[in-house]
Amino acid sequence: MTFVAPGFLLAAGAAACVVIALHFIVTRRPRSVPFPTARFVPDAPVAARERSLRLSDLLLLALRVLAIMLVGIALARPVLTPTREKVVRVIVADVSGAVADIAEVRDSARALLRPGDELIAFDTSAWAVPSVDSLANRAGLRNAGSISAGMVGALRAGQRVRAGADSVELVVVSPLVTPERDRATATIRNQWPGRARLVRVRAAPPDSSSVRAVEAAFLDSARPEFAVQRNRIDTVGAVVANGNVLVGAFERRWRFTDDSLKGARVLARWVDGDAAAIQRDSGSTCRKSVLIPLDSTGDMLLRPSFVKLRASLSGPCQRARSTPDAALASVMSGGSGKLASTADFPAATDSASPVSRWLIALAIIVALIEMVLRRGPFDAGDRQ
Amino acid sequence: MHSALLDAIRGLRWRARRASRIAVPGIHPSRVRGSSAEFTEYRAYRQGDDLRRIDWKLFARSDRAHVRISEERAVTPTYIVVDASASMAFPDGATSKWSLVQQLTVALTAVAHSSGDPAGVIVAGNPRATVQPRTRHGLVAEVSRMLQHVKVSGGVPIAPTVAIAARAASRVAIISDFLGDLDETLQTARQLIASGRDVYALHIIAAEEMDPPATISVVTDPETDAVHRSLSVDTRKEYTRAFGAWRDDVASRWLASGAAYREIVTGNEPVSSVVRRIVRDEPVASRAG
Repeated sequence: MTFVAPGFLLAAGAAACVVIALHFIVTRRPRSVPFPTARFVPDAPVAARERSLRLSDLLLLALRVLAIMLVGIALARPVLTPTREKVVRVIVADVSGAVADIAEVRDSARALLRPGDELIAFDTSAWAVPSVDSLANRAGLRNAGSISAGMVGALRAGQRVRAGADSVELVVVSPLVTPERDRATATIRNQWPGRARLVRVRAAPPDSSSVRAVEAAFLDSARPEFAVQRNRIDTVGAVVANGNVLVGAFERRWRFTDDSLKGARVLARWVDGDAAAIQRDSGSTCRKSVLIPLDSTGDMLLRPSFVKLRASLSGPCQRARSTPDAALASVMSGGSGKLASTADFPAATDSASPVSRWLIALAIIVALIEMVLRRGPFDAGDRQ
Repeated sequence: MHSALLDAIRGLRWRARRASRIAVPGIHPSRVRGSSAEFTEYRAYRQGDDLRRIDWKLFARSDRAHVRISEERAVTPTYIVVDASASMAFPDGATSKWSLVQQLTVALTAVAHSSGDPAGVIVAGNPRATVQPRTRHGLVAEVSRMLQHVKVSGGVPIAPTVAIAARAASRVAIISDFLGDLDETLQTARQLIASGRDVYALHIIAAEEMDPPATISVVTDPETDAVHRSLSVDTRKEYTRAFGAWRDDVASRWLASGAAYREIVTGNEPVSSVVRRIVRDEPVASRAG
């Protein structure tokens, strides 16, 4: 047998101890009995110097303690066949593009998952998954996920497991890279009323799609992203990128619109100052657009200046670096240091123990018996 | 109501302790010397004697005038003064002092009534609870009913009531625990005795007063809240000693006054036996009844 709210049991025990102590400690002023010849009794201080323990006293004490304990047990809501676990884990698994190998996440989750535990997958949103095998990157997402979304899912899972466990352990399986953190992460993390166990997996390498896009842009005559066709095709003699100058006869067919340049980072410029390559950040990733056409038949591709230019344009986006974030790990590993108690999670509905009402009724009956005994034959006008 | 008790005392006569001064014919010796047929003695004629009482035959034989004296019998009007103060209600229930007082009063009334004496009952401090001394039929039942309706409470002095009763009776029986105005009552009783009246002091004591129950620890005088004492193991002995000394003192003072004193303890003896001792004026063998 276990108790849903054992605090009431402890409180009842304390109250019973107080009653027992008072029973033996308190000296009450005894009730006066009319006695016509009272004048012949020596005038001494009226006080009960000692208490004679009689059967009726012990019976009354036992009934009082029994009534208190019954109420305490009733409020503690006893459960004869407990279905609750002591500790349930909520495993938050990262399935976003920040993870190098989703199988590593599955293995970690499989090692930690026990019957009754909650498994939450997250990328930019969170959802419960029935089994470890269901953990998969949705639609080949390359972007990093959001720890905040995962924590929201964990909080909901904690509310679900509230009735079935005493404590909840939060386990986060994620590479914990910088793009997964946002301004709400710390606040949402603090909503979890306990410690978090961090299981780090390998982070995905930098997104190579931008490199491939740059490589393709040099050789492709198709319209680059964010660019429109120039009204008049012209030529320009050089392009400058990150201090590297590539001299050549470049035919300019495309230009960036003013809207596309807003918020964009210019990676290369023509010698006349127009933007030749830009980078636009989108969420946790970035997209590059290069307007520099190259002639594959010449020797330009072999020049050292071109090699440097290509390296500077093809490098990973500055904000998309998928490196483990120490600050994020610090935020996630914070908390009280204890396991989260299920009592700290708001309950949707309070469940009442069916035994409680019977115990309350029994306590009332015991209290009535105690009252009858106190005023009944044991008293008989002579009990002081 | 008290049929068993009345059956037990049937035939008893309450003899007077003194010759009555009443001229009404009765069964008790009278101080009045009359001319009834019961001859007692001759007395020399004195001026003023009724000439019809001169024994002329003796005068013819002795040539001296003598008056014929005869024994007269008279009634003894009896008043029973009952103490109905709060102390008489102790203890609760059928064994209370008031219950004994009721039985005793009814029994003594019945005995006096059967003796041909006018008998009446007066409750101290309660003028409405009075049955005037009468000899009529149904007197005992009337007294019994009256006592049933008496409320036992308060702390009324009984001496004034004793004085009132003495105006209409030559025998006054005081039934009380004497925890009230003992001195005044004794003084009044002495005056009555000096004037030739019979006074009976029937001291009612509860057995629980003699030996308080061990369960009682704090006691209060029911007639005054000022007395509030602790009856512990230590004080119990002192109480027993003081109460015994007081009872001795009360008995000696009543006996010294010339009254017929009886100490009657509840539950000690059947009421009929107590009544028999009282009306026969048996000597006090011990304090208990």
